[in-house]
Amino acid sequence: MLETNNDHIIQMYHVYKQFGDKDVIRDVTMNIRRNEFLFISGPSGAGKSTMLKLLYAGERLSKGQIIVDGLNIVRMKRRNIHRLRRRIGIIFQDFKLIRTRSVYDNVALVLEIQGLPRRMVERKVQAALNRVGMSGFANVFPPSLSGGEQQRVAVARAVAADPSIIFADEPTGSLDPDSAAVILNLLDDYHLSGGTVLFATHDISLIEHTHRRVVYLTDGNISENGRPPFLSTQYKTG
Amino acid sequence: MNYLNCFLKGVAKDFIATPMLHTVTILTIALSLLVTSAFGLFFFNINQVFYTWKQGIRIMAYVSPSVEKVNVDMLKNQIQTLYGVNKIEYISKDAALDFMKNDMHQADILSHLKDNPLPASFMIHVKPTAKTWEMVERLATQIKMMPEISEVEYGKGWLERITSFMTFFRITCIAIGTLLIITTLFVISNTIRLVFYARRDEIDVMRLVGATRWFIRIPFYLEAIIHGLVGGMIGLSILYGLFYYLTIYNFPVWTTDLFHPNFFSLHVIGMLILMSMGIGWAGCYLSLKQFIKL
Ligand SMILES: Nc1ncnc2c1ncn2[C@@H]1O[C@H](COP(=O)(O)OP(=O)(O)OP(=O)(O)O)[C@@H](O)[C@H]1O
Ligand SMILES: [Mg+2]
Repeated sequence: MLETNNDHIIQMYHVYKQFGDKDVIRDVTMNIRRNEFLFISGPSGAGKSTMLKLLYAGERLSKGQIIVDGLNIVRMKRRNIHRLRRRIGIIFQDFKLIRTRSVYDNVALVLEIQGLPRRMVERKVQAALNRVGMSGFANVFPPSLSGGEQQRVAVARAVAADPSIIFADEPTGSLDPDSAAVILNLLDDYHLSGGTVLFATHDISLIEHTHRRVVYLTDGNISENGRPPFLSTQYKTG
Repeated sequence: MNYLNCFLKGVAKDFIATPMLHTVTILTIALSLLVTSAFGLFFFNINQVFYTWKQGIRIMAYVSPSVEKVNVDMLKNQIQTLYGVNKIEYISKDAALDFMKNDMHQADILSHLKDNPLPASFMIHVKPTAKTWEMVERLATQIKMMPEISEVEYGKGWLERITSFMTFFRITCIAIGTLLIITTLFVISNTIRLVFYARRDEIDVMRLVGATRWFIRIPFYLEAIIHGLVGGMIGLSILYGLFYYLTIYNFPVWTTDLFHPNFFSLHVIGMLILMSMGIGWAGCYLSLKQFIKL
């Protein structure tokens, strides 16, 4: 079984996920250290998104154990999922901003749901928007922003409540290279300030030259040492 | 406090975003409440008339002409012991004749008579309790069995008909009320469902960033309760308008010494509006329970 380990912010132990009778995640056991920046890569349909969903309890695992920041995902009741979600920030390829709320309100939401006083919400939203260089757009609605700008807002929302982990599922998937680089830089900043990042992508160019750890998923299985055979760069952790 | 602010802002936005949906819902509630409480008001007033009328119910017991001398006190006491008797008046032969002469202006006809043909009688007032007509019937039978009494008179047919009409009317009211409440429940729960689907994406995001289920549910409850509150107030205002128009303003003749039409008391109005809000709450509860998984 699994013991809580303070060095490991995420622990997965013989994790399985089935949809119908199809194994999408098969027997994954892996640990992620606190303040690690980890890429999860693999071809389309390999199960990257599914793995992240299991970690933020967007899907229930079929078998195994998962502990995220001290919380046992398997034993967690639906009504307690918010406790997990408040410790993490999630970024998606399609941004998932609320179209009918302003940039400010989108970011403020994560603080309001925790019942923070308005002054503090204001301060933290401003700080988060400054961090991503979007403070000039507070009153704009997401549909009138470019993809890169929307993703910056999404990053602001993800970091606003000071989470201990950020899950990013193809955050640069729909962006041009320049915007993608901006997002990557923002995640680097977050990582440097002490956060843990899980970055799922099938974009080889992002991971080719990285010195960071890459976990490679194929058919729901992670490759040994997290390094696909065709990438020859030296394995180092960041 | 911070939460409340946020909820109210959300609710206001929702009403602005889909005004038709909310208006129709509120009007449905208003209409159901209007119909139900109109029946209720009618019943309430009719009941009052009936009550006043019941207070006037009397049994006339005529003393048999063969009885030479009436022992008034003894008979009075005897009748008084029977269940349901409120007050007894003795009307002697002379008093009956006087009454005929003076109050009914029959003096010329009666003045020719040598003997007084009118019997002495007892006028028995009945206590106004709910089951009056059965009670009056039993009382009348018991009085008639007394040897000194030759005949008993009371408004049997009337009493019976009115009582059964009232019962029928009450059942109809309850049936219609129940039907309308059920309809309203469905309308509200459907509206909440539509609002939920319209905001599906937003709610998914809220869930993702760590909103509790209550944080997501409360605005829906607030909306449904506001529907109930506003719908209730509109329904009752229309009812009051109609009531005012039909009674005080247009036909003050309806108001007599015996019957003075009344609107609901503030207490009842409060209860009705609370009920309307309760229906809103229940409709929302049904919707969240049945259609919406968080
Ligand atoms: N809810 C679901 N029901 C059934 N099958 C699903 C479901 N979600 C994912 N799958 C299947 O699981 C497999 C893995 O999907 P997943 O989205 O995790 O892949 P991915 O690695 O993220 O791919 P991509 O790089 O294209 O995003 C796919 O074959 C997909 O069809
Ligand atoms: Mg994916």
